[in-house]
Amino acid sequence: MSTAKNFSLKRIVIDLPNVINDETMNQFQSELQSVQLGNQIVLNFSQTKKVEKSFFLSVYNLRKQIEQNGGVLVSEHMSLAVKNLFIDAGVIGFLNHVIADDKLLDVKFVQPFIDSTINVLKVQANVDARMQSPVLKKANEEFPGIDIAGVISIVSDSFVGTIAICFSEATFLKICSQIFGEEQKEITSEIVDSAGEILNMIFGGAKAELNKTKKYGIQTALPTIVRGKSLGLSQSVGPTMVLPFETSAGPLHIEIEIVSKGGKNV
Amino acid sequence: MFDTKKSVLIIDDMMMIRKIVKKSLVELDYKNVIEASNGQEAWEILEANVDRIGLIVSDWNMPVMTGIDFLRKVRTTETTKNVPFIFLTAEADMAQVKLGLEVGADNYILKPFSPNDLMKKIEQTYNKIKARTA
Repeated sequence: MSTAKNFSLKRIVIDLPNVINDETMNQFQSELQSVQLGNQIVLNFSQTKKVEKSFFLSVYNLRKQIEQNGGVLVSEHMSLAVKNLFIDAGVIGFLNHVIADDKLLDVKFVQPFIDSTINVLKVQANVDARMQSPVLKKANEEFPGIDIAGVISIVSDSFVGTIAICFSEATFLKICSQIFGEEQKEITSEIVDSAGEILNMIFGGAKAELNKTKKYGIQTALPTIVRGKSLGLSQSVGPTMVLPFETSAGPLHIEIEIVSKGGKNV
Repeated sequence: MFDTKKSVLIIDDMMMIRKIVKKSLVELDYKNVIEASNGQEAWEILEANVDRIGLIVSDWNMPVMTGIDFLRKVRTTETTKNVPFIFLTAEADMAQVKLGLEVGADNYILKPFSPNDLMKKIEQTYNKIKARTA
């Protein structure tokens, strides 16, 4: 019997009011009392038009509390106007750990990739994975610690992009050891394509879910593998969502970049 | 029941999948396993060994010749049309599953999969074929 910890997080959505002021803040704080913070806490900004400054500090404290409890804080449906309030107040840094806009690259888009990653690693490799706080990577910025990556081009009826799964050599070898049931000491030609196949399975699961629920029409694609010591993966068009995972085989991360077919980053 | 003197033909462009399917099959006592990395290579092996192949386990998305094109070729050729065929693919779209079954696949395994999933699907496939031919 496995004693491994179950890392899947429950998604708890907190609907925020039209105006966040001292009065509604008290309501928000009391709602939080009943929430178990070691989960994925989603702040739903869809109704929110105005935010008082006191809320920024609450978001900061909340994120700290959630992370201390092993959870993740994300936001969704935040309008550009509200996002600008964070920017004007000089606290946009708080949003580095928050999914910050209401377009394609929001939690509803990435959630199937998160679920599929956890499922593939568990079923195929018996590896438990838990997502850390997502971060936004700017165009041409590189995320450190990559020795091997699988990459798939995303093509749909209305957008294009890429998804990559990135491993350090140590994490990749541990995952492959689990998959093949024997210790892998180096990245040989026998195991190198596993980076692509793991991503292929993650992509296949997420694609089916997004095509079913959102009718995106995402097409099938073959993975490619990028390999080298301390690789840098950089996407040229715009911000990329980085989804870091802590796993029982070590850290890894997924990078997702999506742009509309007109070339505008979405 | 599967004649263990016969071979299982595994087709996948990813060596990882070929290795784990082969390992699982050997553990399940299917000792003769032949590998191919795409539909074209698999077709050449099948044509030359038609009496030896007792089961085909094939990926869908592969370069050179895809799994569905390979299946069409298998099902429209007199000497190979009755070879049991299981798709093993990461494509979880129901429309694609339906298409595979319509073209003549006997069963479908979705990746990711455990050795237990593989064993159950093989058993299920043989039971289905047995019931159909009884």
